[in-house]
Amino acid sequence: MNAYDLGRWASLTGLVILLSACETPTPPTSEPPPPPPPKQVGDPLVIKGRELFFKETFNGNGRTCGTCHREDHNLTIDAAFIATLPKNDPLFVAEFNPALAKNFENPKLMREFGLILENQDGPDTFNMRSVPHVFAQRVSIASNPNNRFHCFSDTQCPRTGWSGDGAPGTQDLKAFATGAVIQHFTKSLSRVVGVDFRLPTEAELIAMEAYQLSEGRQEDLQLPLPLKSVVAAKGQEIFNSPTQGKCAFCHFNAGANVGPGSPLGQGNLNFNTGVEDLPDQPEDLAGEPNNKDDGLGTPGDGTFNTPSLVEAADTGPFFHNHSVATIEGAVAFYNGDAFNNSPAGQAIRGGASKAINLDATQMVSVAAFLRVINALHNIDELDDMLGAVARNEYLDGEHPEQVIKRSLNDIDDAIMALAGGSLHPDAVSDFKETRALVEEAVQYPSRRIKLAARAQTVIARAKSHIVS
Amino acid sequence: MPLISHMDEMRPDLVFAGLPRPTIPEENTMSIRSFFCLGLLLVLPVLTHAQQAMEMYIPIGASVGVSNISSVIGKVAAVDEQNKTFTINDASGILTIAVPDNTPVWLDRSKVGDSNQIGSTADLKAEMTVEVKYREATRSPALTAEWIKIEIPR
Repeated sequence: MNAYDLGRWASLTGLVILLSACETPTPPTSEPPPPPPPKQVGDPLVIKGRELFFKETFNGNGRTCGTCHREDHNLTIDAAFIATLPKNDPLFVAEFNPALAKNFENPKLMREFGLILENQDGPDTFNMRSVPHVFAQRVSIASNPNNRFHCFSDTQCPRTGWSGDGAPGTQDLKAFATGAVIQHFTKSLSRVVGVDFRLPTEAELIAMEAYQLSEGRQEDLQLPLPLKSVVAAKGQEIFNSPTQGKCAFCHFNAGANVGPGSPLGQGNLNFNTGVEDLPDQPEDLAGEPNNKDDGLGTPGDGTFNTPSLVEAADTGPFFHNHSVATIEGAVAFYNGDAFNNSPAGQAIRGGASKAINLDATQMVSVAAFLRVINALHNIDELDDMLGAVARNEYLDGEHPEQVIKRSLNDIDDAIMALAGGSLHPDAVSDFKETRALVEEAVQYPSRRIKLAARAQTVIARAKSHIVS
Repeated sequence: MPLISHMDEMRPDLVFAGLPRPTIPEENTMSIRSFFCLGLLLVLPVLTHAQQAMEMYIPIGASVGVSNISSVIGKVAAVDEQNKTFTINDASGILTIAVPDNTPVWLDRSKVGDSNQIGSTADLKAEMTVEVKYREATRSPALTAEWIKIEIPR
């Protein structure tokens, strides 16, 4: 072969290589294989309870506990979320089941204000109430008031529902679930067991209780936290001050309990804070029939149960009737006449003309504190979720594919909580980065494990911006 | 004069620190006593036992954690309207049940497949099956009703 031939061969070979490169596309970046089946871990009782909570209708009208306590919405609902639901969602059963068309719900108040009808004083009367989240119940419902008349029984006195009397019988979460089935799951207002619904079995009640107790915080915060935001830190100081915010009298460590030295008792107690005396209640503004909610007891004593505040900022609107939409407004409530003239307000007034008298900057800083501790709660939830996904484990029976999707809600909540108060732009940026990673993990299941692990590290960084 | 005249002087360490309760100076004792009194005012009016609305729909014997634990189920032996008591024949003997005013009474009509209703002590008759949730911590021959369910037979 001469030099000419060699040149031709070389040219031809080059041409073939070039052509082959043109005709055959570059092989796609190889996706890693899909993750192996996730590991089943966790307490079987909690897993069973979660399944019952979100899937079991108890042969009723189609509702489950999760109809109102949405797992993808902080175990509660509000008007904005309700607006996203399809018309045939069981929440709206009063709109398509003729047997429930009257006196079961008020669709207008449900859709406009996220209110649910409750017959807590008997079948012939009702009140409209919001849906409380069910986070942190392990540390939020145990109660031991000094006055035993406050309890149904001498052995235990848990507080459930907005007025602390939401459960029949033993008052505990098991009894609460039974009462909720009768109140909210029935096919007709006759509420006949075996016809309109079935009662949960004891085993089901135990499992649902275990699930509910597993949700959210398992212990109270230990305030003060070493917060990095000067505004939130100031808010924490005011919150804990016995002369300024006085919030910790009832919300010790920003939870649902009175402080350990309280002369009123221990744990989760009821107070009349005057919310019912606020002007312009939602039902009144809407021109809908309603009754003044008399709180605990029949007839009621006007007291309502103390909710935890750690989870407050992303679970508004606030109070038992959604009468205040924003966390800043909720803090401002304690500056107003309704609270200051109430029995609780008078109780903490001392020698001052008003029980609580904060200026705008102080109210905003208390709200900032609440926003920040809510974001920290979101981080804890995200750490649980992303950690489970990174380990390729089910979380209380939920597949990692669903867990990673659901984590987007907590990310958005954290962004909302912080950005809504112009707090921690650095952490907000981290949450946005986390969101991008999680979205990618949702889109590409094969990368889910690695992306969740990366997201977890970014979340940890966000936390480091918020607290030392 | 406000019931709590020196709330600001309540020792923050008592309220907030979670520490063992120290000896309380006299001036602060007054404050805490006043706060306690007001606390009683807040809770004392609840002399009935709060919301039981959904309890009325639970058939006799089906209240988890209550039926046959802090309740008795049996047939009414006799009713003493004057003394506001009735007796139940129970395996352990005769139980006397005191019925305070305003004790909720419900008619359990689940056996006839109908809605339970609010009743009254006038509905209590001999030979009727009843469930009585009692207020006492332990069962004894003399009990006080917290609520009463009366079975309406088929």
